[in-house]
Amino acid sequence: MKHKDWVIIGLLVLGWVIFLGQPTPVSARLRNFLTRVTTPLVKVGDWIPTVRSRRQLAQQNDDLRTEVNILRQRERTNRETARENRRLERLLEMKRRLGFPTLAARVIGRDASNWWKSIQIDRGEQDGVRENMAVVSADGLVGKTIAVSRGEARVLLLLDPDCKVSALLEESREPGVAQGVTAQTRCEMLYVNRAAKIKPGEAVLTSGLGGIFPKGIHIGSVLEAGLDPQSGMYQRIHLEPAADFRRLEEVLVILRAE
Amino acid sequence: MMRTFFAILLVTAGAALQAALPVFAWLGGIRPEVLPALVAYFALSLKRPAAVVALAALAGLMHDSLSAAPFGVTVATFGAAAQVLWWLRDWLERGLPWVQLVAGAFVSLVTGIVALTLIGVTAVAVVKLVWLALLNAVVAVVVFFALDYGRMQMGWDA
Repeated sequence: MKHKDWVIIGLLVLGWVIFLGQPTPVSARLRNFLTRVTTPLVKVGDWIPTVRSRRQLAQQNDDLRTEVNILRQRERTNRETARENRRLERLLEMKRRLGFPTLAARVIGRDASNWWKSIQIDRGEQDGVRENMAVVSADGLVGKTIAVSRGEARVLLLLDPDCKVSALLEESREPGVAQGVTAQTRCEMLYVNRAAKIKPGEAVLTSGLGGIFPKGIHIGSVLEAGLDPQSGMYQRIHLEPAADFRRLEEVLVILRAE
Repeated sequence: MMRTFFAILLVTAGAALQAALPVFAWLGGIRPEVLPALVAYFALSLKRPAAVVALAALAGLMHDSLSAAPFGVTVATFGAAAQVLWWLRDWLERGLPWVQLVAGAFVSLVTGIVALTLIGVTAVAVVKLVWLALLNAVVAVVVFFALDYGRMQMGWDA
């Protein structure tokens, strides 16, 4: 190449440098165009550091799977804890409403028999639990303690025919006895005045008589009422229990009802 | 000694399993029972009546300790049912599934009838009694099969 050619190339380059360095509309458009063209190539460049061997990827995949499983398990635990918190909050609310000394207990077992209705709780004599103490859930009355050992107690459920509770209709103030029905998962109220006017949905509460169950605990609500076919002297009321006996997990034992 | 220990362990595990089983809504709100099947198995498998009644009594005690049933009531029912089955064992071919079905149902029925005399008889209770006996009969066949297989593997005879 001759000396003259170098001078021409130098002038051209200098011209281009001066031209591109100026913020003119033409140079700006050119810059944008080139940017659009080169950006995908820049992105391809991003892949370069992540290229690894298949073995490394497989290892990473395994690690991530393990981590995902751990996180899923943790999430399940967190959800369960959140649910438990909600249940305990409701139980705490019940504890405040009751105003008696109470003891929270977990349900650790159900009745081994199909004929009796009871649950086992994880609190016993060493925690201050004694026989014939009322047990409630966040929704209402559950039953009473019947057999207490050192660290556990058995609670006879309201659904058992042997669990009899002195009860009161909330609005009509008619008294009666609430108890379970043989071989069924519902309860009824007996010995209610045959002249009483009872509305479906009316709440049934403990009357406080008998000394075991404090007054005012929600037992259930009236499903239907009719004349007792056996005696014909009283009304028999079918009740919808307030507590959900299939889903009992935590309960409160009322330590002293006075 | 080993077999006695194993039998006691079996009764304990059976009682715990029975208490731990959930109540199945699709089975009509009842749970299958393991202990009546174990009592039937002991009655038709063991030679010594004392061992049969002792194990049945133990099963009854375990049952009552995990239940609101009056303590001891199931000892009598399991014991009596086991004794009757043991008397009949010479006329019964214990390897036949229908014999196992009947034996399981029998123990369940005896237990249920005694329970109903205590808690009261209703039409619903009688239906439940029969349904539970049918369910426990099936459990008995499974228990007989499992324990016979286990004994065969261990090389144990009655």
